[in-house]
Amino acid sequence: MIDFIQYAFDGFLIGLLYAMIALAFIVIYRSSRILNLAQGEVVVFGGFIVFQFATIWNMPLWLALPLSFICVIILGFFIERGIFRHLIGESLFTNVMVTIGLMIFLRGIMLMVWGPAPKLFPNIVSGVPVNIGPFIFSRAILYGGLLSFVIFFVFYLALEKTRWGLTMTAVAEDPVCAQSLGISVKRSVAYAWALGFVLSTIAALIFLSGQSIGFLASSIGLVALPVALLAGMESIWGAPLAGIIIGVGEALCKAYLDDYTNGTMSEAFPFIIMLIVLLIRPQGLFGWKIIERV
Amino acid sequence: MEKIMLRLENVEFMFNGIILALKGISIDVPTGQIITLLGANGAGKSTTVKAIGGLLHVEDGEVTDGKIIFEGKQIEHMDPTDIVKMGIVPVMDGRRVMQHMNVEQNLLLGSHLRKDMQKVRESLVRVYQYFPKLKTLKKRTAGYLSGGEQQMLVTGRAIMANPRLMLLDEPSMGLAPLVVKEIFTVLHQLNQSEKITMLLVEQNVRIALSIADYGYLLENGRIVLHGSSQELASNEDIKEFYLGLNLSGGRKSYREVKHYKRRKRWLG
Amino acid sequence: MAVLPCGVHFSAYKEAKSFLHTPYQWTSLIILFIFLLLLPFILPAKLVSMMSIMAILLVVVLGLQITTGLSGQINLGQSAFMGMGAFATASLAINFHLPFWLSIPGGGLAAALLGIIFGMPALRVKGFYLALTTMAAQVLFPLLILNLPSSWFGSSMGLGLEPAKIGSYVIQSRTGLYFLVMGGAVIMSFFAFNLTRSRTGRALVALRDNDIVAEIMGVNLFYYKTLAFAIGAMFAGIGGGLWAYYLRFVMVDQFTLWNSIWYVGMVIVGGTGSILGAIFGTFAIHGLEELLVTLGPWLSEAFPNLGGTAWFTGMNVVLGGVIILFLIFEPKGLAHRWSVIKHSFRIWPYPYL
Ligand SMILES: Nc1ncnc2c1ncn2[C@@H]1O[C@H](COP(=O)(O)OP(=O)(O)OP(=O)(O)O)[C@@H](O)[C@H]1O
Ligand SMILES: [Mg+2]
Repeated sequence: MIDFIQYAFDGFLIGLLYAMIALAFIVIYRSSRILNLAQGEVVVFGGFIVFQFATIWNMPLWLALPLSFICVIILGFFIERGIFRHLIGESLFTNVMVTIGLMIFLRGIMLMVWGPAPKLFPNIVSGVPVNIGPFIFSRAILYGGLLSFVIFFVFYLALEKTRWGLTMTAVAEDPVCAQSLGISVKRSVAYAWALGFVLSTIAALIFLSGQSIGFLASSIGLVALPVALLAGMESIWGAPLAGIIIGVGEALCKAYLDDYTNGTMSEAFPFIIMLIVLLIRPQGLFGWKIIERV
Repeated sequence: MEKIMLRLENVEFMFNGIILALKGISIDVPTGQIITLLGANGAGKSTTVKAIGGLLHVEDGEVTDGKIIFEGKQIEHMDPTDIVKMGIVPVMDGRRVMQHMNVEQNLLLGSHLRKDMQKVRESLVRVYQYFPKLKTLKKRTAGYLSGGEQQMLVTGRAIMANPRLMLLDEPSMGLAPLVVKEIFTVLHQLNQSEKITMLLVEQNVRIALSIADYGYLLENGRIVLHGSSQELASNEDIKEFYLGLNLSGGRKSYREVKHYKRRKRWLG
Repeated sequence: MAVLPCGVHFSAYKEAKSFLHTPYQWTSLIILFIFLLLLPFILPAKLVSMMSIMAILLVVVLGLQITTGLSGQINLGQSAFMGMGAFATASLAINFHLPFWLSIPGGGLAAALLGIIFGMPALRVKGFYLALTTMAAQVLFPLLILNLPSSWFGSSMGLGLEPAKIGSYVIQSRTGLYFLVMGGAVIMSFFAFNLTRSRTGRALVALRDNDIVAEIMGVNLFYYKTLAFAIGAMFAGIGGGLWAYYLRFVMVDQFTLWNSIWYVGMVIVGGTGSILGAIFGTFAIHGLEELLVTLGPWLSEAFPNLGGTAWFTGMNVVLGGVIILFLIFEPKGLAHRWSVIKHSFRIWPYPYL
C-alpha cells in the first residue's frame, strides 16, 4: 500500500511537469493556432541554453538563469520573425509541416553545437531527497510541482482574466477579425512563442536538474502532446488535471504492468489515452467545442 | 464648408496582382456625418471597407493607385493596428464575433487599445444602454447568440474602441426588419449624440438613406452615382433598381432599361 | 495549367489520360530504363548501394505522397507502416516459406491493413488531429511488435531472413539486390503515376481541397479517406518488404518516428501532391545526406576544430532549414520549379501563356 501511494505520488509530480510542458504547447496553440510538434525540442533547447551558460561558461546560477531566460525569449521572437510572420493566413497543413521543419532544425542545431553524447546538467535544486512520512521525493520534482501550481494560476489569470489574454485568444480564434480590432497578430504570435520557450525552459530546469541532458530528452515533449490533447487544446487549468491523470497512470503502469509487457505499457499508456480521446472526444476534457451553426 | 475626415482619392485596388476590384474611386467622408456606400453584390463595397482598414494584406490585396487620407495623413499602407489607433474602427461583414468568448469578453476585447479603465467601464455601461439585450446576455457564449444579437455585439464591440470613424459593412444583412430598425436607430443616435462619423455599407437602400447624409453608388468597382440622401432617394434609377418602386405602376419597358444601362456606361 | 508539347492535342478522353504523348517522351523513357539497367555496371559499388537504398525510400515516400500530398491527410506514421510491411514480409518468408514475389505484396497488404485501422479515425477527426493519431500509431507500433509472440515478428530480437531467390538464382550480390529493389521502385512509380491520372486520383485530390464539397459532389468520403491511407500504407509496406530482403534483417529500431518525419520532409521539398515531387524529394534529400556522410570524415579533417560529428549532424540543420524555406518561399516544392522550367521551354520565346 505504501508502495502504491509512493508510485501514485511520483506519477502525480511527474504529471505536473508534463502539464507544464503541455501548457507551453497550449499557450502557443491558443494564441496562434499553431500545433507545435517541435515542443520536445524546444524543451531540450532551453535546457541546453542553461547548460551553456551554467556549465560551459561556468556562470553562477543567479546569473546563468536570467541570461538563459532572456536568451530563450529572444529565440521565441526570432522564430516568429523568421518563420511564422511569413505564414499568416496559410493553411493548417503548412503550419503543422513547418513545425516539423523546426523540429528537425532545432535538433540539428543541438547536435551540432552540443554533440550527440549526453552531458551532465547542473544541479538547480540541490540537496538530499525529501522524506515525508514513509515517502521519499526528489527535491527538484517536488519543488517543481509546487512551482507549477503557481505558474498555472498566473497563466490562468493572465490569459483568461485580462484584456491582454483576450487579445491573444482572439488571434487564435479569428486572426482577420482580430486584426480589424487593431490586434497585432505578429506580436501575439511572438509573445506566444516567447512564453512557450520560457515555460519549456522552466520545465527543463526541473526535469533535468542534476540529470543528464541529451537530444533524446526531447521525447518528454512527445508525452506532453497527449496531455495537451486530453486537457483540451485551449484549456489552461485542464492541463494540470490531464497531466496528473497521465502521470499517475503512467507511473502505475510502470510499477505494475511493465513486467508483463516487456517494459512497454508505461510508454504506450499516454498514447493509448490519446487515441481514445481522439476517437471519443477530440476537444478533450475542457477544450473549445467546435460551434457549428447552420 | 465642412471638414473632411476621410478622403479616398482615385483609389485602385488589386487582388493577387491581377484582379482589379476598385477601379479608381473617390469618396469624401465629412466629419460628423453618415455616408452610405450602396451597390449590388460584388460591386466592391467590402473591399473598400477592408482597404481603408488595411485588412487585405493577408489576402494579397493592395492599393495600387490613389490615396486614402485620414485627417491629412496617408493611411493606405499602414498597419491595421495603427489605423485602429487613429480612431478608425471597421466592423466587418458576416458578424465576426469571437465565438468562444462570452459577450462581455467580446466587448472588452474591443477596448484593448485603451488605457483608461475608468473610461472603458463607462463605455461598457453605455453599450449596455444602447443594447439592453446584451446586458441580459452578458455571460452567454457569443457563438450561440442569434444573428441579430451578434450584430449588436459587433457594433457594441466597435463602440468600445472609442471610434471617431466607424466603417460598417452591411449591418442589416439577413436580419428581421425590427432588429434592423433597432440597430439603425442606435447607429443614428451614436452619430447624433457621440459625434461618431460613419461610412455605412448597405444593400438595404431604404434604411441606409433614412439615416445617411450623403450616399455613393458603387458598381463594378466604380462610383456611378452620388448625391445627398434626398437626391438619391428621389433618383429614378435608384427607385427602379434598388428600392423596387415603380412610378407608372406597370413593368418598365425594355427601352427604359436600356436607357439606364446607357447612362450607367456614361457615368462609369 | 499543363502545357502540352507543340502539336499534341487529344480527340478522346483515353488519349488525354495516357501518360506519354510524343515519340520524344517514349525515347526518353526508354533511355531512362537503359540507364537504370546499366547503372550497377558503371557506377562504383558505394553508389550502387546508395541508389538501392534510394529506390526503397522512394517507394515509401511515394506512398506518403499519395496519403499526404495528394489526399491531404497528414501522416506521421509512414515509417511504422513501412515497418509493418518489413516484419510481415520477413514473417511470411520465414514462417510460411513464401517466395519474395508473394511475401513482399503480402507485406504490402499487412501494412495496408494497419493503414486502414489508423486511417479510420480520419473520418471523425481532421487536420492536425490526424497528425496525432498517426503519430500515436508510430509510437505504439514498436511496442506492439515487442509484445507479440516472438515467433511472429521476432519481438526484441528482430527477424533475419534468407535472401530472395528466383528459381535457383540467389539474389544477394550487390547488383542483384539493386535490380530487385529498383524493379520494385519502377513498378510502384508506374502505379503511382497512373493513380494520379485515374478517377480515384481525382477523387483523392477533391478530398484534399475541400472534403465537404467533395462529399456533396458525390465522393464517398469514408471510402476514399480510408483508401488514401490504405494505398499510402501499402506503398510503405512494399518498401518495407524490399528493405527486408535488402538488409535481410528487420528490427523495430529501424522504423522510428524520426524516419517518418524525414519522409514528410522529402515530400515537402519535392513538392506536395506531385509524384515527380516524391522522386525529386527522395533523391535530393537522401542524396544530400549521403554526400555529407561521405564527405564528413574528409571535411572534419579539413576543419578539425569543428568536431567530428558536426558535418553529419549538420544534415538535420540543412533539412530543417530547407523545409522551412520551401514552405515559405516555394510551397509547391522542386517539382513546381521543374514544371516552370519545362513550360518556359515549351512556350519559348513567349514569356507568358
Ligand atoms: N480576396 C480576394 N481575392 C480575389 N478577389 C476578391 C477578393 N475579395 C474580393 N474579391 C473580388 O472583388 C470584387 C468585390 O468584392 P466585394 O467583397 O468588395 O463585394 P461587395 O460589394 O462587398 O459584395 P457583397 O454585397 O456581396 O458583399 C468581387 O468581384 C470579388 O470577387
Ligand atoms: Mg460585402
